[in-house]
This record gives sequence, structure tokens and C-alpha cells, in this order.
Amino acid sequence: MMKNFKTQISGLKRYYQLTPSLAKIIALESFVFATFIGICALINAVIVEIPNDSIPVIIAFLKVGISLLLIAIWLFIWYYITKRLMKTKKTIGEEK
Amino acid sequence: MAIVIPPIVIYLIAFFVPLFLTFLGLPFHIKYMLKKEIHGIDIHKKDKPKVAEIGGIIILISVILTSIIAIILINDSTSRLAIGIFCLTITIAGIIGLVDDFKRLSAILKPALLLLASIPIIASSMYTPEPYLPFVGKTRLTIAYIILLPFVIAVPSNAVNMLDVFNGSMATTTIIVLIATFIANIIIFGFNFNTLDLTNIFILMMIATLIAFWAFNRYPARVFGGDTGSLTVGAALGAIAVLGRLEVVVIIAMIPFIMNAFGIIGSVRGLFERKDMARPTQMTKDWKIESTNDPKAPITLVGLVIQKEPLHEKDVVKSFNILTVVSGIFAIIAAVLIKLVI
Repeated sequence: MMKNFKTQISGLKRYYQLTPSLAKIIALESFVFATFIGICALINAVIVEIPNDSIPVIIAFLKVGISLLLIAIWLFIWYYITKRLMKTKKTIGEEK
Repeated sequence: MAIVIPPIVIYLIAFFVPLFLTFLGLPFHIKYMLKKEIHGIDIHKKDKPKVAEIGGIIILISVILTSIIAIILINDSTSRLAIGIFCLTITIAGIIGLVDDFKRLSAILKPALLLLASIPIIASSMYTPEPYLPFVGKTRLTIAYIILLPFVIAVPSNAVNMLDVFNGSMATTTIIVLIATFIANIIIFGFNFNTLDLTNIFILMMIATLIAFWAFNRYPARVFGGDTGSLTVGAALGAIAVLGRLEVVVIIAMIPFIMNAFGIIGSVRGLFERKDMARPTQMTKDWKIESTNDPKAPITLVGLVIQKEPLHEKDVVKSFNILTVVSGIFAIIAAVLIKLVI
């Protein structure tokens, strides 16, 4: 039982040791989350205002379209940074 | 006179029944699969052991049986219908996975078929096209929501499937996502022991079955979930997001999964079978996982994790867990931001 407990503790220690090496990916996750929240704030401030009455279809489409466009830009930036992160020093050197 | 079962009993049943069913069912499944020679080879181990395949079928059966018990015990017909719809959705995804496990489906046909898993939800109108966004609160999407709904089921299913590559990785990461979703659900909609919250029932069912599955799938694995397991679990996450109105929370909690799927699809410019793509990883002499540095290989989360140095399989899974804990915390923050405006 004591051995099992020690294994559990060393397993948890390993989590602690691994975290610094994941700093870049955690930073990317944080960036993805922060930009999403930023987009939500932007949608709230500029685009969304749920009316009590129905609005013209074209305006509704425009509102949803702009929101989806913002989300698409967010997804592209996310993908682009992920791709840049994956490039090793070797491949960057080859590109040069 | 109808007997009214207290919600707390339903919660306990929703947790313990799938836990025991999966825990008791998997040893028989492993024995049967090895006897019938339906096994995979664990390529990340030195001695390349044979591991029983399609363990996900036990996850699916456990959830179906628990859902039937819940339907019998709950008196409210709307709740019964919702449980049935949840069960049907994951069953469709599970069957697609089962077909894929036996007869490989093409990389395009599989996600296309998964779009059909949302039919029960659409047909029963068991969705509210008003997802909650942080700061914004309730939005009204109506037409756009129906167009996007099939993807809310298909995308998590495929994303979970793409990350199910190491011993225990699927179980532990999805358990973390489910725990974050459970906390977020309580933050947004509150919790009362005397009222039945179906979202919590679905989450408890999935957590319980995955805990039992993890006991057999963790390093060194005795069973693989197969596509049956990963597609079932992914569809369950999507169904929980839609039925529980937690779309944003689930998406944020699944950032590492989406990052992985995104990288793969974007870097190889399309959907391809694993065997048709260059391998992103290889084993070192001391049986650690290292990057192949092949420019044609897809961008994966594993590739990012092992970029600095080769890692043991157990450490790669631990890294996945750390990243999912971070995204889970973000999902809880998003829930707080949603709660502030509703």
C-alpha cells in the first residue's frame, strides 16, 4: 500500500515537472481563450442586440454573418500560430 | 399510485450502474476479443503486445442500459424523451464507429455519416437555438443553429477520435472535459438535489463509464476503445453541449482536441486516413516517442508536446491531461462570464 502511495505521489510530481515544458502550448490555449472572449465582447458591443420585435431578414443574416466571419478569422489565427509553433529550428532554417 | 423516485437516487444510479457495468463487462469483452483474435498491436511498446479491440462497445452498452433504467424510473415524459434522444444520438455515432472498426470507412465518409447522428435531436426539436456566450448572454441563431447543429455532434466525435492514440489518453482527457462541464453547468444553471437536471445525469453516466474504461485502457492497456469508443464519447460530449445548452463551455473545454484536429486537417489539407499520412512520431531506442520531423507529417498535439524532447507514452498522456485541465479552467471561467449576464 505504501509503495502504491509513493507511485501516486511520483506520478503527481511528474505532472509538476512536465508543466514548464508545455508553456508554449498553454500560452497558445490562453491566447485562443482570450481572443474568443474578446470576440464575444466585440459582438456584444457592436453586433448583438436582441430586439423585441422581428428584424429584417437581411440585417439578421448580416449580424450572424459578421459574427461567423469574426469566428472564422479567430480559427485561422489559431491554426496559423499552431503551425508556426510546430516548425522546428531545422525546418525554419531550410525555409531560409 | 406511481412511485416517485427522489432525484438523488437517479443521480446515484446514473453514476454507479454504468461504473459497475463497464467494470464487470470489460474483462469478459477482453477475453472474448482475444479468443476471436480481434486485437490490435500496441506499437508504442517494445514487445508489441496484442491488445483487445473495440472496448468502446461496452461503454455504449453501459450507457444504453443505464438510460433504459433511468427512463423506467423517471415519471416525467419530457425527461424520458430527452434521455432517449441522448441515447439514440450516441448509439448512431457508436454504430458508425463499430462499422469503421470492422470495415474501414473512408476518411470523408466517416465524418459525413457522423453528421447524421444529430438527426434525433433535430427531429425531436430537443434543442434551443439560443446558445449562451460570455458577455453576450443569450443569443438567437434559429436558422444558423440548425445548420451548425450536425457539426456540434460530428466535430467533437472526430476530435476525440483523433486524440485517442495513446493508452488512457481518451478516457482521462474526456473525464477532465466532463468534470469542467459539470462544474460549468452548476455555475450557469444552479444545482438542487431535489430537482432532476438531465445534463448532470448524462455527465455522471459518461464520467462513470469512462473511469471504469480507464482502469483497463490505462498504461499498459489491456483494451483499446476503437472508433466505437471514441465516436460514442465524442458524440456524448456534443449531445451534452446541445441538450444542456453548454455549447460554448464544451468547445472551450475541448480546445486541445480541436487544436489537434485542426492541425491534422489543416496541415495535410483535407481528410485522410492515418495510414495515408506520413507518420508524425517514431520510437527512440529507449522507447520514448519523438518527432519524425517529416515536413509531410500532419501537425498534431503530440508533435507539439514532444517538440522539446522525446517523452515516454505515459508522459505524453500526462501532458494532454495538463493541457485539458487548463482548457477546463477556461471553460469554468467562461461559465462564470455567462452567469454574470443571464
